[in-house]
Amino acid sequence: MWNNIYIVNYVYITILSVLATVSTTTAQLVNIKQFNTETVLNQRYVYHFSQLPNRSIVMSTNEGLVLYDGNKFINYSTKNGLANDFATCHVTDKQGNTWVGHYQNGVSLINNKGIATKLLATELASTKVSGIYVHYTSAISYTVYVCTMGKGVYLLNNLGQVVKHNSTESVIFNCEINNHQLFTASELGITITNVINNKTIYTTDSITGNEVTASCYMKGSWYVALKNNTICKLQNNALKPIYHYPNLEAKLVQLVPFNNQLLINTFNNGVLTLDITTHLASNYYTNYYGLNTTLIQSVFVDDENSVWLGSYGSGAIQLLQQQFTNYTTTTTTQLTSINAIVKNETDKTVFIASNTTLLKYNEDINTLKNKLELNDKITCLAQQNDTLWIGTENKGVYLYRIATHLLSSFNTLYQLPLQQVNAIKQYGKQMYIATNNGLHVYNLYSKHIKTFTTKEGLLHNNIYTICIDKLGRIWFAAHGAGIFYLKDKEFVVFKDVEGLNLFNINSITADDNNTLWIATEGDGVFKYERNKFTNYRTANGLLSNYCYGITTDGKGGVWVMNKNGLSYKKSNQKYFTTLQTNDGVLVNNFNLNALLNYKNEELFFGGENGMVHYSFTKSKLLFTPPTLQLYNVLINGVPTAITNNNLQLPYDKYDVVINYNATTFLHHEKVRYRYMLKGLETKWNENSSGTSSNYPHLTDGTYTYELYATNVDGIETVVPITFTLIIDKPFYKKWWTYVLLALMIVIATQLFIKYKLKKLTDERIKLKALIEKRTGQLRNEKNNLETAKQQLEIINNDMTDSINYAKLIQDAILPKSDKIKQTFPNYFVFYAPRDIVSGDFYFHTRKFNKTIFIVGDCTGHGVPGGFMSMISNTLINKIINDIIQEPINPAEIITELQHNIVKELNQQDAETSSRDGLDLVICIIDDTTHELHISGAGRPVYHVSNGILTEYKGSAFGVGGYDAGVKKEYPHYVVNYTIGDFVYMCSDGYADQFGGAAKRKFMSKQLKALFETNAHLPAAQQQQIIKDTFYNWKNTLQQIDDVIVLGLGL
Amino acid sequence: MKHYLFFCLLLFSAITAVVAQPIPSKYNNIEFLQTFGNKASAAWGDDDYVQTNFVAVPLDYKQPLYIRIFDANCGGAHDQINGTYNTKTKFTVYGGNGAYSNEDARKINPVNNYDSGVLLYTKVFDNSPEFDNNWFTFGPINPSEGEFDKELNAHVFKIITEGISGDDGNMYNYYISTSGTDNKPIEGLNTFAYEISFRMQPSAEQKQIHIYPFVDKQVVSITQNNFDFDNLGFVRLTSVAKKVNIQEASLDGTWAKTLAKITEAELNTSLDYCIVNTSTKTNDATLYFVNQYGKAIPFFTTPIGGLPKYKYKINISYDVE
Repeated sequence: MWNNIYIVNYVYITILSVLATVSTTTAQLVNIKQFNTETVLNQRYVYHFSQLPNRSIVMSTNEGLVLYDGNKFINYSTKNGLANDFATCHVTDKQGNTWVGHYQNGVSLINNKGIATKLLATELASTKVSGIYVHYTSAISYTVYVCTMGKGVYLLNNLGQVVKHNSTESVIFNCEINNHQLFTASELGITITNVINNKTIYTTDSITGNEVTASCYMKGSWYVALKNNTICKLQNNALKPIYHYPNLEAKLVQLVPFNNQLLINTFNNGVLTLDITTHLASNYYTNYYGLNTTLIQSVFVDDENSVWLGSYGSGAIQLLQQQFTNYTTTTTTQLTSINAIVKNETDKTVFIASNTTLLKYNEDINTLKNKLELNDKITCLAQQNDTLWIGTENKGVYLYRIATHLLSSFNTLYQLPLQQVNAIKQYGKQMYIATNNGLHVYNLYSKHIKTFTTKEGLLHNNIYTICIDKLGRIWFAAHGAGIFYLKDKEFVVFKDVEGLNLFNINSITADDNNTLWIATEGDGVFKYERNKFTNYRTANGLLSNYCYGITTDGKGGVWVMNKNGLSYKKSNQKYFTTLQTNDGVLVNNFNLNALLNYKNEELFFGGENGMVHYSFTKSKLLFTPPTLQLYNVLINGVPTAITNNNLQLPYDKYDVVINYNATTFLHHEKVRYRYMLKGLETKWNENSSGTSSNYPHLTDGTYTYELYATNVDGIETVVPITFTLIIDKPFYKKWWTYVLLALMIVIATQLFIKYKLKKLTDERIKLKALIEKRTGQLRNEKNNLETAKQQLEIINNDMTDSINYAKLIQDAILPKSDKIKQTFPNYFVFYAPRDIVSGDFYFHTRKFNKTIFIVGDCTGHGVPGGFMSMISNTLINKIINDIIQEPINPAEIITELQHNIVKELNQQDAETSSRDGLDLVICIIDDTTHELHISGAGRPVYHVSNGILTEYKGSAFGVGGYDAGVKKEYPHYVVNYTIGDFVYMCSDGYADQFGGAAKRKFMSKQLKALFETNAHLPAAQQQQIIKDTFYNWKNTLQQIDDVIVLGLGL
Repeated sequence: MKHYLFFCLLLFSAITAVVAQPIPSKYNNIEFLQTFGNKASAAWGDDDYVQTNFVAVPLDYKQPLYIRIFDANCGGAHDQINGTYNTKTKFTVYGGNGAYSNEDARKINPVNNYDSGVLLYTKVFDNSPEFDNNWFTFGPINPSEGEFDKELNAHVFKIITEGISGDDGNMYNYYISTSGTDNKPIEGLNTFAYEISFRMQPSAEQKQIHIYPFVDKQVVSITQNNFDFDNLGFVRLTSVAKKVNIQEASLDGTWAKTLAKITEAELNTSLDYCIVNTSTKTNDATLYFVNQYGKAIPFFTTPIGGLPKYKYKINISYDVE
């Protein structure tokens, strides 16, 4: 079948493909960190490196001694007391004193407190110190060896005093002390001296051709570099050549032990390595790696195995891990934008899709060949045995036979439309082709193709890539469709994924645990694990929320392609870390899904300016934890010393700033800190990249500050920075204040009690006297009161008698019962004055063959009411007898009464007239016509007929009082009655009486119900009920008004 | 005098922008300097077996520099054999304190602290063929390792060549380069000396040697001293004020000197001493200049103020009838 494919498309091959023979050597770029005048280091010439016990790097430069702790540079110069700005070498003893050899003016000793002393200033005024070493003769006793260019060797004691001078006048351009041996190389040759017994161990003449250019002591032997580029080992008192560089145009200026190898600084031709056991030589780095200088004065390996280069004129250079190899368009002209990469498993060569060209890269020989030129942009690649599947931007898929170079069009063969292919992936026997018009699934065995488009339920036709997880779910990356997969012919869409706002899925991958990782354009990365999505964004360390490719590395790590670099997260890290130019990723503007994970051993990422290659074998974890340094503690902006990890401050409010640094030199910018001020905080401040902790307005308390740092590989400091900060309590919070306060309270209480007791005693005495006095007075008063009481009783009795007599008078004017009973035998009156005499009265008479009943309720009660009732009764008599004519009208009677009362009581003036008057109702019964003529002033008349009560309301106003000229009109009701009906007339005293369980008024409603309920009963029985009801209601409460209820049985 | 040197150096740099890296320079037209082994007779042309040259590196040059020596060995091509080659020549580079400022360093003869300063590089050459007709390089050298001189506004290095043994003549020259492998000039650099021992080529090569002492305003007169010219030619002085002034040339193994008064116009200019070998022989000789106090006058490989040209005076008179 495959053969058929190639035969069918052979013509196509000739048109499209060009087998090219162009081959070039690519240029890789080394991953370095440059410290020079264009970045952070002002010094151009770096002569010597060392590392202090606190791990800071020290550099001898022509402009002073420079300390670098990974964060900042500190320069020591003549301003700090050094003998000369030009430092050629230095050494730090175990006490922390640093001895600096100068270009001229001698030596400077910087003691461990930072104070500098000038030494040998006269002797070495114009002599260069070529080396300075410390040799310990005991744990604390040592000698400093100062090797010079022209003045031999000076030996200084630990105070800087000259104890000996090997005055050979020789020009010592290379020297070293090791294993109690002083190695010197001068124009006179090599001399090795035992510094303990001062015996010469070895010496040779330089003119014989053994001129030494460099030396080092390694694993018990001296190694030297000779001017003819030969490395020799001193063995049995003879220099034994172990390696010779025949064609090296360089001078071997420095030998540095590095594991089992010698690092050989060639000064201007890179650094070489030589294995001292196997004698295998190789390049550590060469100049074509892209360093901006070729002149390296000094090489140093720090305790993180990071190699430092001291350049001659271009500052310092740190060689970082070389796990990234960059192939950029600027260094390799064949490269353009790279869209796809595959690695041939057979010969380990790499196929690179560079625009329309398919390139083949052979890493072993570092060559790049043009293999194929298409007339369309290559978008993706996949290898299946010997066949390369090539996806294009407009022309579908091509199949390219690597061995035979035959090319054919897959789309033509299977009559598929020529379309944009975004991804090609093989899972088992299926080849999945993601296009802008759906997904083709090609069975490699049956040769059948099945296509999924929106017609088949696909959510979007433009599929960027797919991923099939271990459960057989096909996950799709597409824009605008959200996260979805296909399983068992069913599409499953995840709705409402928190954080997924733009729905642009660019890439999907699954790790070994079947955790799905999804890269989006704008929403960062999503992890799908145990049916739960977790969103990672820039806040979680991503370089950008716009992610163009994602892969896992088989080690729990996740790698994400962003526009300007990579983001990655190791399995032990919560946050992503970024990888950009400073980290060795020199390629940027990564292309969509232009990545390759080759067997979890290598990663390739393609971008617009080339390709970056990551090798896990070259990547070494940095196990050295960062060393924390406390720069200072600022209390209200003032640096304050911490003594014995303790800082105590008097009470106040303080702004506390703690400045620190974690010394590490590999990716210092990726150090993360966590800190907590216990006593104030309960949670760690994590993942901080800042180098200060701020605590404003800190008040009294005991706090413990703790700080940890984690390096780029998640290794945390073993020894944290910790100290206790105690801010004293204010005096009022101290225990003695409480004790004092308690004592004061006790004393004050006692004093108070004493005072009070004394005061009470005094007052008791005073009161006793006063009581006696008052008792006398009261006794007198009592006597007076008893006298007055007797007098009042007399008066009261007189008045009561008088009122009682008045009552007799009042009773006399009230109608006589027997007279009423002549016409209305079935009547009753419940008459209950509040006092002896009453303001309520009732009136009965017959006139014009009609019976007139009046019930009045005069203002006030008692004597005034009685008076008023007498007046009213008199006037009513007068009106009925003398004034009223037939037909008799009750309203006219009231009107007339109104006029008479106003007149009699002089109520014509609003200011001076009294308000006295009365409410009354009049009921005139015409027993011939069986009519009732009813009128009322302020009171109603109730008529119960056939058990139904009808109320005939009186006017709203009563009789009497100043009327301001307003004519008062009273109603006149004419009501027919039947025999047996009952009419009730009453004052408001009954309804207004307080009583009952709730002590409220009886109210008219209840009274009317009483009438209505009992109207069928005989009058006497009704009277009893009315009476009993009243007194039961009132019970023990005081009667508040006069009460009269008149019931007439018609 | 230093003020004027400085001023003129600046002027020179600004006007000509010419680089003066070889010692001797193209202005001198000298092919080789010469230093004989200290066992050689002075009659060979080297009076003291020591030659000192100074290099003034402009302050704004901060990159490494190299001092390259051509044909540093004594044997094989170019050199003057005397019997068999048995001469060792030591080349030493100094910088730092006193390299230039020490008064002994600026004297005609190598006495007292003539080797003052910080020793940077030293190398002894014998007749080994490795550097025969080939370049040897000292360096790289950090420019700031030179002695800073405020008046010259430069870092000054000193190169001393000494014939420490033997009796042969070592012919060599220098190049101050930015490269350790090629001769690449440094802009603004100049070199100078107070005495020069050099080889005169035969007349057939039509080479006229020029030495350019700088005359500051303190100079009233200048005395040119030459040694062992073997009476093979003549010395001619030209300046802005002197069209032709023939100087006395020495005989074999002897000194000759000629005093010339300095005119107002010649102050703060360079003079041009042209040495012409009219014979068919090569000759090795030595030359220096002193002022009226016997103090040595420096001469620069690139003449300060430019090449001295005689300024003609045009005198026109009118007869009025």
